[in-house]
Amino acid sequence: MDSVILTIAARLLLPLLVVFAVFMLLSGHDAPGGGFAAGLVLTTALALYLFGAPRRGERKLRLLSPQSILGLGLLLIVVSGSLGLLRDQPFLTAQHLPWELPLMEGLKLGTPLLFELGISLVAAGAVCGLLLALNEHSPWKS
Amino acid sequence: MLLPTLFIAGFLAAAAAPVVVRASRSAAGWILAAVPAALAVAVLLELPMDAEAPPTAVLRWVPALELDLALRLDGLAALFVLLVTGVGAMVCVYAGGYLREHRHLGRFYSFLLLFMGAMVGIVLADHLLFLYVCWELTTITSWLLIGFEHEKSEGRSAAWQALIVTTAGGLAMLAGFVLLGQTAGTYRISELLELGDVVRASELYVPILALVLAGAATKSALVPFHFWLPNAMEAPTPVSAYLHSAAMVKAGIYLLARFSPVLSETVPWTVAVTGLGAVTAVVGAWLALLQSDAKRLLAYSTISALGMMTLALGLGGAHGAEAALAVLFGHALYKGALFMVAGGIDHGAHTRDLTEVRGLARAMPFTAFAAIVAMASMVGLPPTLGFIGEDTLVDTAHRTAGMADGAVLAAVLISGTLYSGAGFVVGLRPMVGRQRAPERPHEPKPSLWLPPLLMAVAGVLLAFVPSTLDRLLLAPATEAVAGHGTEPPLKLWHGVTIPFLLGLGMLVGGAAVGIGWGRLRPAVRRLAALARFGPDRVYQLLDAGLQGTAKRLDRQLQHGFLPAYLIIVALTAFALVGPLLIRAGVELPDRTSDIEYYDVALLALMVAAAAGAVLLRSPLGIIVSMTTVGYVLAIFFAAFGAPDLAITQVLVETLLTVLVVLLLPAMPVRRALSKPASRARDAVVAIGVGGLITALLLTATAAERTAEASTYYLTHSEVDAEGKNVVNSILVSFRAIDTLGEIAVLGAAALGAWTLLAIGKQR
Repeated sequence: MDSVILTIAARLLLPLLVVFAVFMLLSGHDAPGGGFAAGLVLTTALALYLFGAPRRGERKLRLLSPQSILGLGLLLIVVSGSLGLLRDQPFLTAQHLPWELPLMEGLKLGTPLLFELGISLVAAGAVCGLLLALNEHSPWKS
Repeated sequence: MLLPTLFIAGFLAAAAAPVVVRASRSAAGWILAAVPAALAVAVLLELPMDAEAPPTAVLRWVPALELDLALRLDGLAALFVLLVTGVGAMVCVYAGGYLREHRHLGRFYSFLLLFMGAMVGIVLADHLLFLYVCWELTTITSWLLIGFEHEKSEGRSAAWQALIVTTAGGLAMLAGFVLLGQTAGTYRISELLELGDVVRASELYVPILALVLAGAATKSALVPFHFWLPNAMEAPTPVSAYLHSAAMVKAGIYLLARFSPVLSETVPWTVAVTGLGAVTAVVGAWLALLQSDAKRLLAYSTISALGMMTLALGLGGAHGAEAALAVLFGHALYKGALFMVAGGIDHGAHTRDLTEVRGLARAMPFTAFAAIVAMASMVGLPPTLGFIGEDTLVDTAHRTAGMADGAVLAAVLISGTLYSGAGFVVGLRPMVGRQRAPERPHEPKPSLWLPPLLMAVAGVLLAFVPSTLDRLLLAPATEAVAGHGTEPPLKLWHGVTIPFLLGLGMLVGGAAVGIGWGRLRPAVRRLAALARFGPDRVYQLLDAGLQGTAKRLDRQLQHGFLPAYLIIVALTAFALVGPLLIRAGVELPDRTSDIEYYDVALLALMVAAAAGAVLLRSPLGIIVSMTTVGYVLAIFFAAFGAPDLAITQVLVETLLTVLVVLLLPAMPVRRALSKPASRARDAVVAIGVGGLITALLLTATAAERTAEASTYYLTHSEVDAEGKNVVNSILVSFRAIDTLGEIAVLGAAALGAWTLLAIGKQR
């Protein structure tokens, strides 16, 4: 029994929340936000989707494979820290690209951004996984 | 470039292995064998190694602690790398045939190549701690490989036994390394080797020797730590052929050889190492003859051979070193081949029991040929490498002038005779005579007889060029160990000398043992069964005792009653931190003028919500109260100018509530409040912990260092980290390594939670 209200709300809000999460990720350097919050916003969006359409949502979420996302996030973090080693600098030295993207002049491209992305993936993966796992045990699910 | 490649190649190949297997199962063995083969060729081209200036490579990891990834390829290292990679290539091909239908073949190759990389790391390592890391890596990969058939409980317990025994030795070795490094003043092995006199003269010499010897003895299965090796035969045969005959068990011998310049030439060394080697050689050979399973016989005979190598190193000097290395090299070739033959017999005649098979030569000619040639090397029949090794060993034992040289020579002769007997039993006996087998035997596929054939034949061909072998490989290795080569150099035929005659005697004696084995063995076994209490039994008793104690403790402490856990944590925190705070004194700041009206209102709201959480009865009410507390806290953060914290707090609180609500219907309604006594107890603990945290925070914020830190970050954030968000800069730039640790913990916690929930679901 899918809830119509939640399904429609999720359909409208999910894209907004995803964009908002990306926005928080990119603006975290100079304004409030950051990787962890971005990951949690993404998870909130997915939770909304899950509650709107429980069976379909669960299938889609499982396809997303939270475990892999978590692993990917950790890998990204370690890789971003290791790039400095190639230039004979200590682990986790920030490396920046010298150019900027055309429409996003304020955004500094570099390993801190990769690091933040990794953090958001780990946070999203961890909590989504918990969401799915608890959903299995939930008495709401019949 | 060569050394880093040698080291990393194994790990890269391990990562690629599953892909290769998925691409082509039948050719995977051959393809993956190319990697170790290429490494072997690369090392061959570098021979002979220059003793004065061997190739080195260093990656500075933490210069302040002198922690470097240092690699060094001298004569000894080259010998071992050649063995590990050469035999590794053969094993890759063999495993492709032996395990072709296995589901997890990709995983198997990953583990195998990972092991190879780690083993190469051990012998190339020029830093004590780097050596230790690679050492333990081989322990872990060995555990993975022994327990590869993890559905069988014997495989699992054998893997655990090997892990525990070798890890215990490894830790002892680490302690020895630390003492050694501190005594000598350097952790770089190449520098250490010059400081032998310093180490030998220090008062820590005996502890260092004992600890390093413990590491070597556990890894190389020397008595009394030998019992894990026969049990490790639960592993698939390719693993036995590689790790437990040619590679991993030799690591202990490598250790003793490598540190000979530093630790040898003293009475404790000679007594301990020679004694250990002699006992192991005799016991191993004796126990080998009592076995009927081909692999267990080979395992015990390997123990005996390792004992002989240890004995030779104990005798010391260039002769001892050369004897040990000659035996080592020959042994790797013929023992690996014989293990593979045992696996071939298993595939072709469907049994590993040596009492059940005779006369297989007609049915499996190639396997038989490999078996017989390898056996010739094992029993010391010229012209084979095994003969050269054994001849050198007897010669060295014969030469030593010392208190117990008669006993040493006797040990060599007895163990050598029994060892040859074992060789006849496992290599010749199954192949000759009237054919007898449980099922109709047939020749196994080429990937199962070609590698052992090549290895066995190599053992013969190389015996014809001993001077070249000596010049390129053995002499530089001996020089690395003992400082100089031996006179005369290695030769196949020295003339009819005493060692030759003694060797002949051992050969004849061994043949006699082999002939009489079938009839005598059952009777001797019954006798030996009387002495059932050995190290294996001791291990099992210790293991059972430990497990029993752990279970009892678990029942006491892990009862699943959450409030009890919380109280223990709270009391511990209180007990540890409380006295320190009381002694330091807490100053209450006088900032009452800063309090605004909305602070009071929010605080009142928070207190009311908290009261609700304590006093309400319905689960929904309790959850709403606690969420309210969380949100009010977020508003506080915002009011105090910490937007990042506020955002995170809101998000975390929301998600937490969502997760809790998922289980809401399952939560019981509180029928009544708990007993007054427990309420009082809970109140005391809660107020105590709350007070503790408050006091802690007040002390921390009042400290000068805190103010200094915030000024630093505020001023440097925009300059160094190029970011205006100071909190973010701290997390991602200034203290990135802390964040890395925290996020890894988050990942691990998530994994743990998923697993627990999944297990709960199964029940």
